[in-house]
Amino acid sequence: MKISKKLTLNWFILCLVLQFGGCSLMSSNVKQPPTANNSIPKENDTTVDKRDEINANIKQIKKEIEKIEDKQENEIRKVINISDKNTEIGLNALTQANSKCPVGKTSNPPECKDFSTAKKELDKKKGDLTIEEKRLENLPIPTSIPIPTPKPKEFLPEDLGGMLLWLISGIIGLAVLGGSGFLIYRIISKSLREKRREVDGKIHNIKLNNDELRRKVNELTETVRLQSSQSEQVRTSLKSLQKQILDLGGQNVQPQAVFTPPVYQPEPKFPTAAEDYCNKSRHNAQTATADLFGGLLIHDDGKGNEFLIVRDGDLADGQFYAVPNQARFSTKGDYFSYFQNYYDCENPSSGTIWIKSPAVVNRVENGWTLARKGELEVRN
Amino acid sequence: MAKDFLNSGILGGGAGFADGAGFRAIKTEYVGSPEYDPRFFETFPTVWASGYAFRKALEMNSETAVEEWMTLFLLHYFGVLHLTTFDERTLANEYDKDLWIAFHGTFPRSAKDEGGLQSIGILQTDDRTVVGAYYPQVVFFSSRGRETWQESENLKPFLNGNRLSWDKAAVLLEDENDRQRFHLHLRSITSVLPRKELKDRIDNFCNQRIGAFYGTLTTLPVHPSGWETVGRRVVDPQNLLKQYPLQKPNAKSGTIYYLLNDFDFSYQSSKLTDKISSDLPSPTLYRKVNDRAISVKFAGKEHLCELGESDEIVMLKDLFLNHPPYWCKIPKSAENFAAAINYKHEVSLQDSSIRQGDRAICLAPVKAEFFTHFPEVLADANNLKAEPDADGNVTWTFFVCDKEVRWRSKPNNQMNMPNTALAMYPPKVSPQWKIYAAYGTGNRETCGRWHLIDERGWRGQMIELEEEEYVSVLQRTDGAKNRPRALLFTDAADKERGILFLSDFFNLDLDSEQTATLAMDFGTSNTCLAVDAGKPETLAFTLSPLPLWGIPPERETPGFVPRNWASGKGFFPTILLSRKSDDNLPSVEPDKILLEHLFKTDIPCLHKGMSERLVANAFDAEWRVHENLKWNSDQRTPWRSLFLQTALFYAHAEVFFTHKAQINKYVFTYPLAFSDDYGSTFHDRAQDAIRQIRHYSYGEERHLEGTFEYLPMDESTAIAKSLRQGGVRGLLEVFLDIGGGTADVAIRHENRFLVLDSLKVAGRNFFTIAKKSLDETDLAGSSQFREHLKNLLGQDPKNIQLKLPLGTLYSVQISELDDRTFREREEAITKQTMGTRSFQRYRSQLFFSHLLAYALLQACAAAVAHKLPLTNGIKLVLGGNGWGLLLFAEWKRSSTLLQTEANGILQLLKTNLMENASDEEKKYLEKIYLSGVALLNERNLSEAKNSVALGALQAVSTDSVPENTEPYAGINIENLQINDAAPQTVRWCERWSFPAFAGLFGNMRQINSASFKHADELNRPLDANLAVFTGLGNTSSIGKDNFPADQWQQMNSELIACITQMTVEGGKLVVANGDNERPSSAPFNYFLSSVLYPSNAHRDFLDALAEANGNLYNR
Repeated sequence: MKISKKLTLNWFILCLVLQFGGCSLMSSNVKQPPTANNSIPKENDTTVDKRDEINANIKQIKKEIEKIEDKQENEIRKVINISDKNTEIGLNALTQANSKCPVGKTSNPPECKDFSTAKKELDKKKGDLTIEEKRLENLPIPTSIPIPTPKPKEFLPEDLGGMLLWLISGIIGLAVLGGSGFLIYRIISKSLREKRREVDGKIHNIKLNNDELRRKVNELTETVRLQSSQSEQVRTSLKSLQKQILDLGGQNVQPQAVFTPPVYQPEPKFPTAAEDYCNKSRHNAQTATADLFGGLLIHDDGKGNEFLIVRDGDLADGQFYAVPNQARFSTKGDYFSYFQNYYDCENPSSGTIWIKSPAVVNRVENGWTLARKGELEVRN
Repeated sequence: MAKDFLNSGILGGGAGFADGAGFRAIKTEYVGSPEYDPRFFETFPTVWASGYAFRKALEMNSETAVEEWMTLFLLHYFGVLHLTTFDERTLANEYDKDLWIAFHGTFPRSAKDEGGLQSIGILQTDDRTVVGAYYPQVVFFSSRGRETWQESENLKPFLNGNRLSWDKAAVLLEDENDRQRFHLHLRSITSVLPRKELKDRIDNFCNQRIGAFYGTLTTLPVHPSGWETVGRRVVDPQNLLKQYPLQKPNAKSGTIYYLLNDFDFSYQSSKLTDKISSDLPSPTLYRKVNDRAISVKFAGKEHLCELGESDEIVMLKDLFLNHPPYWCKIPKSAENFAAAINYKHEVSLQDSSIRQGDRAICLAPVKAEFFTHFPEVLADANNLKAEPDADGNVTWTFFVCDKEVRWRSKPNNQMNMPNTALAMYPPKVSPQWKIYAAYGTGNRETCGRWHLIDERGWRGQMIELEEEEYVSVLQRTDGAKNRPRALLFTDAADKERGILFLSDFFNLDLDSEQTATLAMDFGTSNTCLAVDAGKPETLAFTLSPLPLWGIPPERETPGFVPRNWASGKGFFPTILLSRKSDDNLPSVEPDKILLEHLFKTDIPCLHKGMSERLVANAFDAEWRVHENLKWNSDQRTPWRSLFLQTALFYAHAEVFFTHKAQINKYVFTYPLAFSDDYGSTFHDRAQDAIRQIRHYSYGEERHLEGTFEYLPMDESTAIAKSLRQGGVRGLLEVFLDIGGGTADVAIRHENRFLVLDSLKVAGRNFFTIAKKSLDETDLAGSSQFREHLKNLLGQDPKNIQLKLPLGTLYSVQISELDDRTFREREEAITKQTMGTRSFQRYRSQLFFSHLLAYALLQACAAAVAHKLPLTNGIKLVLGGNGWGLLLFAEWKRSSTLLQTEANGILQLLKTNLMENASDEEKKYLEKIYLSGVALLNERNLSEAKNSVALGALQAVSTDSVPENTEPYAGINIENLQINDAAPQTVRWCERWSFPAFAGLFGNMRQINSASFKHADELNRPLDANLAVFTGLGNTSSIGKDNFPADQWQQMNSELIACITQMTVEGGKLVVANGDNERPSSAPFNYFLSSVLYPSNAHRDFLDALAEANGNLYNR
């Protein structure tokens, strides 16, 4: 940012005025003013000491509270990070945690201790803080506020020569100091501005980060809260179930035998829309048509391409899926005319083709023979 | 007089004017114009006092006074009140001479009013009821005496008690234009009022009762006599009706009035709500009173307009949907999804569900009935507008009777609509073409139905085919133009959900000169169509349904007109499918066939790639298969008629839109083997089918005679006519066409037909033998034959659960093969052979040999009978798809080979005939030789079949129907005695015909008895010529009869029965055999058709011959 000439000039004039006015801003020849006699009565020393002491205590307590809160936040972050990686794992972890730290249980395992101890400490420190603050309030309040005594001006020289000398030296000093002051000012102001800009940017970034972090922490805290709630519901349901089982006379049945926790399964490929499956698999497939009499599917890029023969890792060597190479049935006639020998379909009609289970074919010399009939479903 | 004027005129009755009072002239030149002062109120004449009092009331803002004041202006503006002026002269002349002086002298002139009183103005109605008067300060004031007001019919409608009512008078403002004009007028009155309070009264009143005003005021004359008023006319109710713009003539020579009751005018164009003309009200003021009357509120009166007897009232609102129309999203990427839909339907609809890449298609919110009233909207859909707004509404604009009518609604998203598809056939339109069918797919419950709407607004007939298939057909019985213009969508409950206007289709306009002849060779196995629209050619189908909406089906399936026609060989298997979903269809009799039935059937082999699936029974779930349509003796089934109608429907469309001609002549070929009855029924059915299709296609009246020419043409003539060559002296052309049901023979010399005959020995017989070969594995060469068939058809017949006869299967499969493939397979088979002994090969060779021998025998007989010295010999022309079966005889499909075979047969015949021939006969027989053989399908498989249809076209255009062409006896019948006539010997070269018998035995009407002389021992052939035919089966010595004697016994017996039981039907000699068939009684024809190749295969003499020649079983 450029400093305008006008501003520079103003500054210079101000310096002159101050100089002539005896301001200590640019003058080293300043005498100490006489002590003002209008000061208010001083506070009792003991009270001041106590106040300082209490303030120091408060400061200390606040620091400790911050530490505890930081610690708690870190713990939450750990849980959140786990959830971030895999919500399901996070849920399991939480479920496990809840099962280890049930509500109302007095003796918690060691991993639960950090939370509860930190909370107790926090409560304790907050209590201390309240006590200290009350103490501070109870101290006698001063009746007036000490006002700094204004410094008297030393204005006129004792003789004229001295005055002239003062004047000349003043002018020379003013010129030198003014020029150097202006230069210093420019350097300092530039430096200050840059620093300020830099600091502003950093502060802004920090604020943004803080906001984002806060938002995330809030979201994840909410997630954890919800998961805790769900876990609690599951636990309640489980208890209810156990009770029902017991009521039904299944005393010998172990709750663990009844409730099987969900096991992670990879997403099944089927059922799937034929179009989606074909689009995904086309790079690894070839088209075929049915030789209606030979009972074969034969490769034919030309006229008939109603099937897509797909190599799939789930199948044994030499086996392939033969799936409908189209998205929809216009009428049920599409099914009967082209696919009935390779697929069952409970209610063929117009609609989107879904493969419930694909037909499996074996590679043979001239094509593929049906190994296992598939099943289609039509959805609207 | 003056008293009356004051009392009755200005003041009204009861004002109490003193009898004794009077006026006299006073000098007023020094008297200034008086200004009223309340203190001297009574010093003024009552008239001015009333005006003054009224002004005061207005200034005091009396509501009743203000309302009356405004009402006076209103009634004056609309001519209910007239300002009648009385000037000085009138008053002086007609009233008391002092009256004017009194008025003038006391007239409260204002400072600005320099002119003084010029006249007295009285406001009165048409029936002369005085309501008020002019007073410059307020312009109008109402009179105080009001007893007569209630008696005035003109004023009564605007009174509330004895006060003028603004609310009642506001009826005059129902017309928005009138309202606006009066508003301007009323506001402009402020400019002539001297006092601000009064101006404010008007402005306030206007603001409250009429609304804000933003226009520019007009300058009114100071005196209201110069003001423009609407006037009050005598209104003729009939003229109101006549001038009503939204009207159209109806079919009853009356008028339909489309009223705008309950219309929302808030967003209507002023073009709709404007006054009809300056002196007629807006159409919005016409209201339905009842079915026979319309009321029009106009100029303060309600005019009742009685309708004529034939007139009708239709509420325009009822022609729009009273519920939201549908809209749907379609992907932008699917370019052709709605290519046939008018682009106006693609609306930038405001709906949160629309994503980038979606297009919103909005249906127009009108009912189909709308177009029956306003078909012109369909004709010019370019005027349509569909404008969305931010609230998700769409405002549609239509032009109805030149008026702009808008309809706003918020459409509903129908998510399943994009899952429907619709395609129309024919894909082009014409004013002369009268049937359009749109085939739709989509579940009825979830997707609804599309209906075609024609250019007259008629909704197409809905034909439900399946739950998810239907056809909407436009076909009008009145023969009116019915080109499709729009689509109507209905939901599962058949509730209308909006209209899609269609784009313009390719339109063809034909004139009546563009005509064509259609020939149909309706064959047992295959059918061929040929057309002559300037050039005879086989009819190839090319027109496919035009997608109107949705994604077309990905695969070809039966159900509607083919999207992909089977390869253009020119013929297609004679097979019909009918939908199983219609249980009643099989019981529909041919003459009860309706339009809907036409769409419940299909010809599968016209669809590309469907033949194999047909053979593989892929259609069994939904379709019945019908074959043997030509020879099915059950005349009650509809299948043949439906096949003919379907084929004719496609043919008519193709000829119309591709060859640009209307068919006016039809040639239907038939085999001579048809009995008269059967032939007659066949032709009747064919003509019925033609009439039906002409009715559908051209809109012709079904029972109208003489609109087209129908020519039956026997297949023998047709095949002969297909070859233009001929006319060579000394050359006998012998045509032998082997089809699926018959082999037809024609013998021609010098362009004259000598013999036309038809044998029921053809593809069907061949496949009876083939079936036996396949079924009876112990027959010689059975397994090799199976292999041959497998190689030819491309699959092992054992893999096929044969539901179709083998012959049908063969023709279906072969119809899909191209010539090259067929030839390759054929060559492979003939190279392989079926071993040294093969029943199939033996019978196949015998089959072809017998047919060749018969044709040559007839040729020899013709040459002898007509004493033709055949210097150029006999030329055999071999046509028909049957010759494609030569490979099973292991004979090459070549003319050269067949010439060799035929030559051998001819020599055998000649040798045999020469033995018993007379010298003269010998003279001609000796010269007979085979000069050439033309196998029509030698190079091109389809040529042999298509020749018949093409020949039929040639025959029509060349000569008349040949006569005296019955076949020759072929054997000698000695001492034949018919009835009581003297016995005569019928030589082998004599015609076996009723006319010939009449010559021999005298005239007769019927044959009651017939007998002839034959050997008692029947274990030898009755005639030596018969032995030639069995001798052809002698593998070790061709021509030498080695047929078992016991078999001859039986065969001779059958032949004797044929002759002795012959009868006359339709001028033909036939054998009455107890069933519907009536085989020819010509002995040799019978010998082949019924004895050697019987249609019922309960016995087969030729098996015995095969056995005798070591070709029956594997041994």
